Amino acid sequence: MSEMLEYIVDATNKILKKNVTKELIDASEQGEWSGKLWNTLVEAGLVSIGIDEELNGTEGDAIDAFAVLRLAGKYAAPVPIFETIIAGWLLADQQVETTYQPTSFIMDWESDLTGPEFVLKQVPWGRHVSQVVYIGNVNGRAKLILLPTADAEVKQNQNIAGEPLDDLHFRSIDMEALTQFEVEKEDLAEKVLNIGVLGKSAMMAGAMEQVLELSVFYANERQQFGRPIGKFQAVQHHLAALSSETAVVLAALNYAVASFEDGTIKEELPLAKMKISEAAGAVAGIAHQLHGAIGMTHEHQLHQVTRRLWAWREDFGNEMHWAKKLAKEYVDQNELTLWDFITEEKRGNVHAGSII
Amino acid sequence: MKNLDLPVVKFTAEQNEFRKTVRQFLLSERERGTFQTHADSWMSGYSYEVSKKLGAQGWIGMTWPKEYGGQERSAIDRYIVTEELLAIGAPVAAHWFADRQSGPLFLKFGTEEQKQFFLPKISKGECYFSIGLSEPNSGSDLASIQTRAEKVEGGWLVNGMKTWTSGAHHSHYMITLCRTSPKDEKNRHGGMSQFVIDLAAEGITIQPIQFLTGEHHFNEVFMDNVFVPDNRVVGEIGNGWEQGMAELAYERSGPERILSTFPLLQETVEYLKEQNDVSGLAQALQLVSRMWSLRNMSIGVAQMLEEGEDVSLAASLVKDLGTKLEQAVAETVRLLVETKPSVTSERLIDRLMAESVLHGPGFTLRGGTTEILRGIVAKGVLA
Ligand SMILES: Cc1cc2nc3c(=O)[nH]c(=O)nc-3n(C[C@H](O)[C@H](O)[C@H](O)COP(=O)(O)OP(=O)(O)OC[C@H]3O[C@@H](n4cnc5c(N)ncnc54)[C@H](O)[C@@H]3O)c2cc1C
Repeated sequence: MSEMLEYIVDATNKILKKNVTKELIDASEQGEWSGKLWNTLVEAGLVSIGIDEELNGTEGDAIDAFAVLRLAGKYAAPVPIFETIIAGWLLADQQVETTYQPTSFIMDWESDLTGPEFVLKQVPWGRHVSQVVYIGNVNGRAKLILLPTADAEVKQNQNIAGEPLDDLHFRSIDMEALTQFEVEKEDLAEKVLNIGVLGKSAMMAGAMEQVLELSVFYANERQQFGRPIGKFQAVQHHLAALSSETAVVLAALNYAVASFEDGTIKEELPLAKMKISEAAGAVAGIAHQLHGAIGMTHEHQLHQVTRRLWAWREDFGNEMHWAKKLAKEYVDQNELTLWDFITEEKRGNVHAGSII
Repeated sequence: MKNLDLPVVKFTAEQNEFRKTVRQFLLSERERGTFQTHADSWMSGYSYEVSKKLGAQGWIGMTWPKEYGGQERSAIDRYIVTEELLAIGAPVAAHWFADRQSGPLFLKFGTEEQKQFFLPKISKGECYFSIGLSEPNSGSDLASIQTRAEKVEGGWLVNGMKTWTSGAHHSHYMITLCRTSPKDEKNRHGGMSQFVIDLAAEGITIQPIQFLTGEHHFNEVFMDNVFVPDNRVVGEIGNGWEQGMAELAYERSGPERILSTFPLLQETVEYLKEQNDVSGLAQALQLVSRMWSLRNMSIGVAQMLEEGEDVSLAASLVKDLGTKLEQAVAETVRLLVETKPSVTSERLIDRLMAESVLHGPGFTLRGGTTEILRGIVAKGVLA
């Protein structure tokens, strides 16, 4: 870890540990906006990490940003930091200065926005963000546009983690007046998917670290039959499984992030997301089993992380989604043996496609 | 080596006819809007209306003697009714525990007065029971319970608390396991007794525990000098553990240990059929093969119970495998159908998925955890 990264991780950890309480997450799931936390993160430069100073960013690279997101996942920080960081990067690529406003993004190549009236479906954090970066077809051309949400009507919906996933109904948008950029569809789609997958994967890895910590704590604390349940071999096996899943998830994540940073990421992306999404369910299930009934209560903290694992594993393609993509890629390169495919440095890229 | 064969049960033509009648009734009630399909509805779906309607059909306590409001139908007929209720995901939690275990407990150990008092009301779908076993420090280690009952003039005074009590806020009574003599390390299972506690009695406080979904499902039940008259002791004083274990056989082997997430599977298969997704269907059908095999086991156990045989080993096996299958349904389906599980979604599959995922962890905990069941199975086969 570079010194800079160490500093960022340390500072972020302190901020989140202090500010993200169980009550804050509860309130967010009830629909409240965590404004204070957001401001703290803005002031610490965490929502603008990975953006150059001349665009009002905090500097730092993708590795730093994913480290921050891993902690955001660990503490289940109930704010659109993932969305805002990524939207910020996409805007910065177009030389748009960052504003620190909570921002969501959505990529959709299936529809065509013509305005002045349209609905964006399932916008993460829709009700709380002040703008949405939309990547898709606009009047038949591949574009990135910035949509202010002030006048959008919100139809509330949420995912299994209680995170907003709202439909935004825009009624009279002057398409011409929007900040907008023509984009290279394939390149941008791939970039969005790369950072989306890695960001969510980092958050899931963090959440799994938290699940492991909670489980170790509980196995020592809870007594049955006159001893801590961690003394029973069956429970020890659960702890071992949680540890190994978390470790292998980190190995997958770290390799993929390093490949992204040095520009070589290819199959690392689907392979990482497949492993991490698969592990998410396993880890959540084992931790609940170990916690017994207390883990099924709203009062206990466990579900705040496990529900996020259950939600996030479906985001940006679950393991089957990516397995199918990978399978297609493999068929297309049918001169490669499996071992070539695994070790070959010159494989083609797994095309991200258009759906996330 | 223990013999692991279970009886093979084939439904008769009449039984198949009966199944159709039940199914038709439920479909038309759902059509009418009496209820909606949900996953895990036997545990979390409450509708007094549905319970009463089922009572009026004679489908609660249906195996019991007619003099107590029963229909003297076979255990297999009852099995058919419970399966149909689960498959359609009807809200039946209100009367479920009374029908499944409290009623049979009275029949086996209760006094004549208790049978006459409770059974007819239960069978009408008007009298609901909760199970008062677990305490904060006594989950898997149930024998360590601390709730005490002390003998007083004309009855018993109960003090202590129960927790995770499903549906106590809907129920009229709770079958409560209490300590009636001090704990004896040499006889851990002795000194406990079962009482029928009136949940409206003085000294009872019921406090909701929010489920992780935010729903009100289970409760803490506090008992502060609650007077229980002598005629509300179940069976013999000191025999509570054995009596309770007999209940568990009913609790662990029923179709509700296999079908809690069936509505999700059904909806998925419909969807895959529409999509003409043969490879998806093939994977879904692997679950069906597991389900079918387990169902054979579970019905076999029902048959053995009717014949009065000891089924504790077989019941534990059914629950271990069945609850794992219930969880596997959600985990498999999510790979076959792209969903964003959400209880607020407009799409039924998303909602059933959210319910199955959120309730899933409880399947392998409630009624005895998988780890504890495996201990029982291992002891059983080693014996
Ligand atoms: C949805 C739901 C509904 C419920 N409804 C009711 C109800 O109506 N009435 C009622 O009385 N109870 C109810 N319960 C409680 C249920 O019976 C208990 O959760 C269960 O007995 C486990 O106890 P516990 O939760 O205290 O877990 P613990 O006993 O604390 O167990 C924690 C973990 O340790 C493991 N463990 C414990 N001891 C051992 C051992 N010796 N060897 C190996 N592993 C061990 C367990 O398997 C588990 O994984 C309900 C529970 C749930 C989840």
